[in-house]
Amino acid sequence: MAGRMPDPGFFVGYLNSVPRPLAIFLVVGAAVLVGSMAGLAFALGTNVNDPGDGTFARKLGKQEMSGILVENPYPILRVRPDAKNPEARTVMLTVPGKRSVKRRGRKLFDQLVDVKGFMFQRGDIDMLQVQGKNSLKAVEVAEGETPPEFTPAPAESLGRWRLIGEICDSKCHLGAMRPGDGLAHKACANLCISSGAPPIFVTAEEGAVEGETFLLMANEDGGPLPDHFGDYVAVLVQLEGEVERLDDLLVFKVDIDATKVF
Amino acid sequence: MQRRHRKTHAYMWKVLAIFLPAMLIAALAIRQHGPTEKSAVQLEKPAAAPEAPAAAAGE
Amino acid sequence: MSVRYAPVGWNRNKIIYDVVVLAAAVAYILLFIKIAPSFQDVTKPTSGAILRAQAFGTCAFLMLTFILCIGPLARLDQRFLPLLYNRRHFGVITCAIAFTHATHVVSIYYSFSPLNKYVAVLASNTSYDRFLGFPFETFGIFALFLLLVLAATSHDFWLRFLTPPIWKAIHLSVYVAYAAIVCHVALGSLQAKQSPLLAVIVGLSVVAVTGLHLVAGRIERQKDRDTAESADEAPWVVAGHVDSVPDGRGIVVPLEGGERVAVFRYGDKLSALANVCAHQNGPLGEGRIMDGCVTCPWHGFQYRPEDGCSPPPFTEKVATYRLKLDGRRILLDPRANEPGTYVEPVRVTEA
Repeated sequence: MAGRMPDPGFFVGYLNSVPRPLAIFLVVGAAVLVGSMAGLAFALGTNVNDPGDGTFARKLGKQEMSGILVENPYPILRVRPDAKNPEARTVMLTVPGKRSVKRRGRKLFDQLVDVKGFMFQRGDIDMLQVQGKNSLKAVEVAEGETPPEFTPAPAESLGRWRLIGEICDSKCHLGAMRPGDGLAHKACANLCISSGAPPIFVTAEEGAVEGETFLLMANEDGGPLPDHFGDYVAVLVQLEGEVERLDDLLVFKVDIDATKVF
Repeated sequence: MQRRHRKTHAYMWKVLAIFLPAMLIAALAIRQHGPTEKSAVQLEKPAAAPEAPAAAAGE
Repeated sequence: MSVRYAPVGWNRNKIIYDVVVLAAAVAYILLFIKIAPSFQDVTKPTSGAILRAQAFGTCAFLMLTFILCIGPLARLDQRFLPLLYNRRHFGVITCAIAFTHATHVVSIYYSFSPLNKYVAVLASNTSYDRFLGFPFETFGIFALFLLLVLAATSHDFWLRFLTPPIWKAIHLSVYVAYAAIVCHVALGSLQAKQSPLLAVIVGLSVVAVTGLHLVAGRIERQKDRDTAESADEAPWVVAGHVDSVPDGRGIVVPLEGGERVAVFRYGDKLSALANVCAHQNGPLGEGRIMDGCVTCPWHGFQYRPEDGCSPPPFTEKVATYRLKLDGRRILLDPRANEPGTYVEPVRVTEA
């Protein structure tokens, strides 16, 4: 090596003086290191997937609604139309953190309840995070008044479908974090779903099922997915099952063991 | 560097020279891309709703 | 030994080195987190904690790539030797950045559930039976563990306490850490990215690190094959020619069996000692004579050429070898003396 190029000098770390040719080389090297790291930061930092428009819609303010609290497949609210919410709606429910509404609502299922909280929204689907004091309670009826009655519309069958898409946890995907999908997010999605966040099926193409992209997942019998769903989360899969409509929410009832991974 | 370490380095890098590119290529090969077929196909239409019950007896 | 020798402790070069490395890391993190998001083509920006996790994770990977290139580059071009001098600080900084990445990941992905977050890291994804969806976090945890061990044992205290062979063996695991990180990225982030940029960068890192090591290894193997020819009188071998050893410099003589000997000229004298520095196995023969001592090009450890001992108060020793002259040819007895054995230097007369 020494014979092939001019002698750059001998560097001894604990001596302050560095031979000039070597010093120049090292200054250039330092500039290359800092410059290339800066360039790579910009390149990698700008080159990202679009994480979508899922949002925790705090600026919409606290939402209040009442309806029938339903346990299966995952806690949802069949919203009773009123002046504030004139359209028939079904809203998925969650609580702060990676937890389920089931604990708070365990004595209130199939009853008319008042619910308060903040919305997660993405596209044509939303979810209410029940939070705050007295945010989930049975509708109170003043003495002497007739308790309100409300019967949600029955589930409307949309037939049997074969869908290609991704199983996501609704909370992250709807805006708790961005991105809330993909393999890098798989462990988080598994943790959220196993802790109570409803799993949703996101079709590979937008609006693939009757103009909708997101479907709440359920087992074939209408209950929650079995515990071993985790292998199929966050990957592109194909599933077959019944699709039902509950107001504005589609439900996809599947046999998870028949999942085909692409 | 001692001979022992040169040999260890040589062995490790022979293994990594095969393993690292293989892992990278395999990871890229299994990457999923969007489906080539339609992502939603209706296999069966919903069963027809039952007809409205006949007029009250006597009509 | 020169009074300037300081085996431990800060000096100007180490400070400059660390400032440059930190500047590179800070520039990276700030650009990634503060500037780059303004130029993203997204509907809504990435969540803050995820962005920070991505910034620190990619920064750590790139820094480890640079670190691993230093070793072979220093073998190929001696101008890179100063980068070797304080490489362990580079490594410790990289470990800290990797640890910060892990902290952000745990805080966003594994917290807020009824499960303990550290249990959740291992329990949330158990798809060990498939490639797609394999728990890539496990590779990351393993790599981080190795980096922490390396950082914790990076000080010379551990080098002495564990003895150099064991310390060096432990520190070879940096290659295992690198492989684990490539797996971590390949099965994790690379699966989620639509753009090929990350794949290209990881690929270039693998090509650079692997390629440089293979090229440097090939040159070393070639040197090992060019062993010194036997002289007429066994067991002496021909080390070289007097005129091929510049004053104040050395030549490296490869022996049968792979060991190497450094032959140094200082004034009109020649001495031979083991080519392997007792500190971290640096190539003494590529060093120079300073203050009458052979000075290792890696960290500046010094040895008296006539007996292979570090001057007091230092106690390192290397083996010495006998030399004799046959005309202008330098002959070497390949049988090493015990480290610290005095051998009368051979006197060279001008041609």
